[in-house]
Amino acid sequence: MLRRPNISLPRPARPAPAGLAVAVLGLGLATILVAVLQGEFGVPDAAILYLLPVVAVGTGYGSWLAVGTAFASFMLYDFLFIKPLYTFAIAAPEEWLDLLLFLVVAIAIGRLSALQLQRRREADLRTSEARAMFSMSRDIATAATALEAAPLIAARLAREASMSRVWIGLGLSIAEERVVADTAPATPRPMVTSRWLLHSSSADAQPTWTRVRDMVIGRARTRAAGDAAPATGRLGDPHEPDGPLTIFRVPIQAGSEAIGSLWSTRKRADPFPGRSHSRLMAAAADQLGQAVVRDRLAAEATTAEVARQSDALKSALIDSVSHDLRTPLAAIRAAAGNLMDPDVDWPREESRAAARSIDQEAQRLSRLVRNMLDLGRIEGGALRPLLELYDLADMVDPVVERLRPQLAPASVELDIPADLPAVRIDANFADHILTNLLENAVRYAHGRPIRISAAPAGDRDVVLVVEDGGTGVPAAALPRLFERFYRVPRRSGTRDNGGSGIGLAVVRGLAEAMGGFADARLSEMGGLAVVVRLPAEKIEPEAEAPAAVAPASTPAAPTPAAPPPGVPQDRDR
Amino acid sequence: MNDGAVVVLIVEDDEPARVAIAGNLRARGHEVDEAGDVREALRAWDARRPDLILLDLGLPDLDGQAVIRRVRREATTPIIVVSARGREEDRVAALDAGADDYLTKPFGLSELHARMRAVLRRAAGPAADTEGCLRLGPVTMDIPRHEAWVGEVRLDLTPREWELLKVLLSQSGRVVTAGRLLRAVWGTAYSDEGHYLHVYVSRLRRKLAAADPTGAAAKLIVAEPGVGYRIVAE
Repeated sequence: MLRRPNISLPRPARPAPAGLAVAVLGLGLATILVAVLQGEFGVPDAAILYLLPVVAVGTGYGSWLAVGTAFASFMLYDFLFIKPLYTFAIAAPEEWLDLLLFLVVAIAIGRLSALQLQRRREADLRTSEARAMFSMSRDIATAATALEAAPLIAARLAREASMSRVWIGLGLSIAEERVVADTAPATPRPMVTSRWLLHSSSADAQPTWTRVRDMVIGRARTRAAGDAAPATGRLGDPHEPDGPLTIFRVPIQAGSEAIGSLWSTRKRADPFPGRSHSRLMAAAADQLGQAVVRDRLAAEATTAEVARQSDALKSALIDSVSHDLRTPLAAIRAAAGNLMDPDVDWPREESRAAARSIDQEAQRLSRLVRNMLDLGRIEGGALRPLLELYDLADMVDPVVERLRPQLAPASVELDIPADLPAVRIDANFADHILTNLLENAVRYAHGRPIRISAAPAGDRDVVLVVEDGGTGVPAAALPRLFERFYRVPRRSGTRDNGGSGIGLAVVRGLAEAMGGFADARLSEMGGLAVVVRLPAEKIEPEAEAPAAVAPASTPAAPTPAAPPPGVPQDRDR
Repeated sequence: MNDGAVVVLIVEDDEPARVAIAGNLRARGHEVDEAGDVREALRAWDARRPDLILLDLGLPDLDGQAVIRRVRREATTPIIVVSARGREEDRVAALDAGADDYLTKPFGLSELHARMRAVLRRAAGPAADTEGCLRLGPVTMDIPRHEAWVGEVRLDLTPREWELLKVLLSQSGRVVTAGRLLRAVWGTAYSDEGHYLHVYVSRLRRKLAAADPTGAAAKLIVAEPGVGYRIVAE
């Protein structure tokens, strides 16, 4: 298989026989015209008309045919019109000069017009090449990653560079390559034992192909991930369905590092890729390399940004909670120190009070830690709610009961209608939301009443409102209340109320994790109203007969009777 | 604890917490065995069958579940598991494996005493009395007659409410996981349909509340968020 790459010769766009026909026809017409002009009208020297077919053939069919036509017209004119007629002999010596001059001019004009044809062909090639390159750049630019762009590039290259198949492998060596795109994924890739390698330092340089032959590397390639089909085809294998193939490899590089290959095949019967197609392949490999570099940079930038944001979050968290962490710790240490003091014999009542204080402060710490952990889970997207249908009142009552000692002296008014649709919530999240809202409300209520109400909102939601009659917040602060670490600016003369700027951010994060939302407005009671919207479902009342008339069931075998309405009856289907 | 001293096995790898709890229980007259991991716990169980086990689930050598499985093969000794918040699935697994109750860290000692009293009382008495009646506080379920009462008021229960109340009462003091309640009341096919359960419990609670003007009956059923329910008279 000794094939010389013909990359420097542009292939003729149209076949030679057509050019030959045009030449013969043109020469015939020119001969008739010359005969008519000289014979009938007595024009002395009409040989110049023979230049017309030369130009036509030159512009249409290239240099060699034009030169041939020039010679043919020279011979024809000599034979037909120079005395002695119908011989190639020339009687008058001055006619020799004329005829030679004509030949030189004809050849020159033929070459010139052929050159123009070549220019035009090159321009056409350049245009389609530029169009293909532009399309590839757009593929790369619009695809999010190199992996996404690879199939587009492969498909485009197969089309534009007339390749029977293109596949792209990424890996540090050919053996490690993983195929990321293939225009014929279902067909086994041919065993690569011999291939043409494209050398090109850049897409603009003249690409050159060299033959590479190695022993067996095909086996390693077939082991690549996702490549289940064994490569059975062999270079030059007579059993190859499409006949023997020529295989081309263009290395893909990121900087100076080899990161993969652009593989393509052509039937061996097809012509070797020309300069334009070679340049396209070089450009595709170049663009893929750059896309991989771009991906790497983007990944590094993302990692850096995530690290930066995570650092910012951590320092904001530390700033925000350090005070809240220290306050209960200080109280705990003071109380414990008192109890431990060997010099003081505390009365029983005093030591109980110290212990109670330790317990309360520890609970405060515990709530803060819980908020911090939940905020971390919200930020990390690690919240996994266990959504179940609950009666909202069942959720609210125990939390109010539990917090009542802390809520005093503020009174809590409850307004939750009995016929409220059931809410689809995570019981722990809902508990935490309400705990945070009540603690927040009591902090700002300054002893004035707190109200918890609920109402249906549309068909699919229930809103839970916790509001207080306290001093509220400036309206300008409302949109920022749910930002983490945001604290309402203190009015001059008021003391720090000890909010950590976490509670409401956690409320919103938990509400959103359950498919709900949290927002704030000013309450008619004077203070702040936090509105939590929760997904809800209306459940039809149980349509069952009372137990008194139902047959008594044995304690050992609970009645798996017909499921109540609303409970799916064919879960196993 | 007034109703007699018992032998308590505390399985907890955090020493300060274990020492503090053990000290308190000893001060209250109980005998206490301490274990820091599953191996020690099983050795202590073999050496002296305790009356109650307080079991932390996060142990250094093995999962605390190993203790529950071993103890349940041999006895019905009450087990209270202790776990950190946010590990509801561990708790549910422990309860389903046979634990009686759970506590979430950090907990107060008074809470611990209350839970201990509840599980010990349950362990002492039979679920139903000789007449086949289940009783708790003002609530009585006459199983043979298929009647439920709150004081002198007869409850008008649907079959599912009846079953719910019966399962809770027969396990009174114990946390019954949502999965077990669903299997017992709706059958095995519904063990994952946790969401309807809460609405039915809510209705049952409302019927109890309507029958008892003092409000005590409505508070009998306590929700254990993310885990299940218990019925308990405090």
